[in-house]
Amino acid sequence: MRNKHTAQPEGKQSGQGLVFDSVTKRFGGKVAVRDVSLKLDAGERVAVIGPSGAGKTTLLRLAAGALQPDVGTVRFDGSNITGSTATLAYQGETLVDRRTALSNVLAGRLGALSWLRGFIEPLLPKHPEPALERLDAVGLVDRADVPVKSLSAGERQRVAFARALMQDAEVMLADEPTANLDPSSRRNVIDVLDAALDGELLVTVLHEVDLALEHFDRIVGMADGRVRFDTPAQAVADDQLDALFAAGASTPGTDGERTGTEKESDVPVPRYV
Amino acid sequence: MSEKYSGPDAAQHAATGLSKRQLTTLLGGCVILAAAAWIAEVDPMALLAAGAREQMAAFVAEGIPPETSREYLLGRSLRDGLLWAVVETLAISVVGTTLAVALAVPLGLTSAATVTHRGPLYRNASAGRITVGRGLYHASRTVLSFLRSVPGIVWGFLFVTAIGLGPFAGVLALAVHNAGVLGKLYADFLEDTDPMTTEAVAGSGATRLQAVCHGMVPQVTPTIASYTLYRWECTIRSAAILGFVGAGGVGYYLVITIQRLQYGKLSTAILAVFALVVTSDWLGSRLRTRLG
Repeated sequence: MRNKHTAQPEGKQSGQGLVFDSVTKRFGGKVAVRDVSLKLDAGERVAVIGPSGAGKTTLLRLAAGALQPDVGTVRFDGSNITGSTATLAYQGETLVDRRTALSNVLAGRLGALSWLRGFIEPLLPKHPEPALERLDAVGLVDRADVPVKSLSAGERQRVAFARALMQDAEVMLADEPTANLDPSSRRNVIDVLDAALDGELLVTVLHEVDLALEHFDRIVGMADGRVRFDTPAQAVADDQLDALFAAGASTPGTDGERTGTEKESDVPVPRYV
Repeated sequence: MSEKYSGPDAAQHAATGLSKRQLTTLLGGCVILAAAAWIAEVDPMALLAAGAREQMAAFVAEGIPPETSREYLLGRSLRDGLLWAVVETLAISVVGTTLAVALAVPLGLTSAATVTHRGPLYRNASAGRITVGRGLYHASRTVLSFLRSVPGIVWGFLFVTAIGLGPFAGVLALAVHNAGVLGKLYADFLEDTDPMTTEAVAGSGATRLQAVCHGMVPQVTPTIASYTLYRWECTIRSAAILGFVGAGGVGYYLVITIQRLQYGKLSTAILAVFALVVTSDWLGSRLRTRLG
């Protein structure tokens, strides 16, 4: 189970789909993603799960082209990642609060406009139709003119999806779309995302394991920057999950600490100020 | 009874109740204050000296009641009299602040590291581009520091020398000094924005400037508007003394009446400045609440 798993789904041409080839990404001295190789195909619904600090978000940002790997390559259908191949649906908190849902969604495709138009469009849209269409896809077209700050957390998340949908990319990446949501909106947000996509590859980082197993085809388990397992959702075993989250709990630095509550000890108790 | 803590620092805690670090800070603060007081020639006895008391008594005796003659308040023509000077002070502050904003916006953008060379917009940038950005950033920060470090009244003196007496010199003085103040504020706010919000806009293929306009700037516009209004309140107080160097406004009346020992007129001028400041503070805070 602790092997570096390299996914090689049978019957697919290599070089197709989203391919991570021996990818490593460091931030300063910390290794966030460690020698990850993955191959994800069009139309798949993939959930990445694992403990905090496992490198899940970094993996997504690498897939979106927002980060470049230090070692290895990330490619889609054999070419480098651009904004039109993969798009990252950032969390609802990254919307601009004071602006309307429509304005935020319009900001999701500034790259496709002329230089000048790109400045004006989110404020005085000339062609709001594509954005309205995406808002309709997430069921919020009637909230288009509402400032984002007065939307609920679930609605904000859906606006963030609509913004990402503006790219018409072949890969949709979603970073913890259910964070800070109540249980019923979690399910709703995942359903909306699923319904808004057609044949695109969907890769989602999720905290809730149940939700991942229930709604996704394929589960990638990550801990300490490595892929610990990569299996179809129905094949995920309980002991795999236990091992995954146990691996994250014993990362260096968290073990061997004293809590300062041992009274009988002869050893001086470390002070934590 | 209760188990006593007997770790390494127990004795020190029992003795002082303050940590070493707190004690050092406190002592250091006292030393700095004492040194500053010595340099500033602080002498409480000077306040109690006989001469000082006499002068203060004279000011109170002659300053009350304040001068309220029609000639002093309204003057002989439109652009004359104390009330006109008050209106002129207000006008100097409004135009001066507006000009300062116009100068501060571009300078603030080029002084924010997140706009020029750091953060999500430059994650995949070439080393050359980052070097250019850092150069621009440092140059622009230096300009802002210079503008800010020369006091408004000194700028006023310089502009009076260059373009002659009058309120326009005051406008330019306020604009230049406050461009330095506001530009730094704008830049610091822009550096403090949420990088993920900017990254989300930049990730859609937007140019850097577009990502700044639609990802970074809208995060801080309310804060910037609020601080700009606060700064406008400050410029009213600055504008009130620009008259000392002949750059227009009510300051002319303050300095003239002090020099001529006309304490009644001085009281009126001080009251006028007081009313102006109170009104603008009230107006400013109301507008800022609205921006909320």
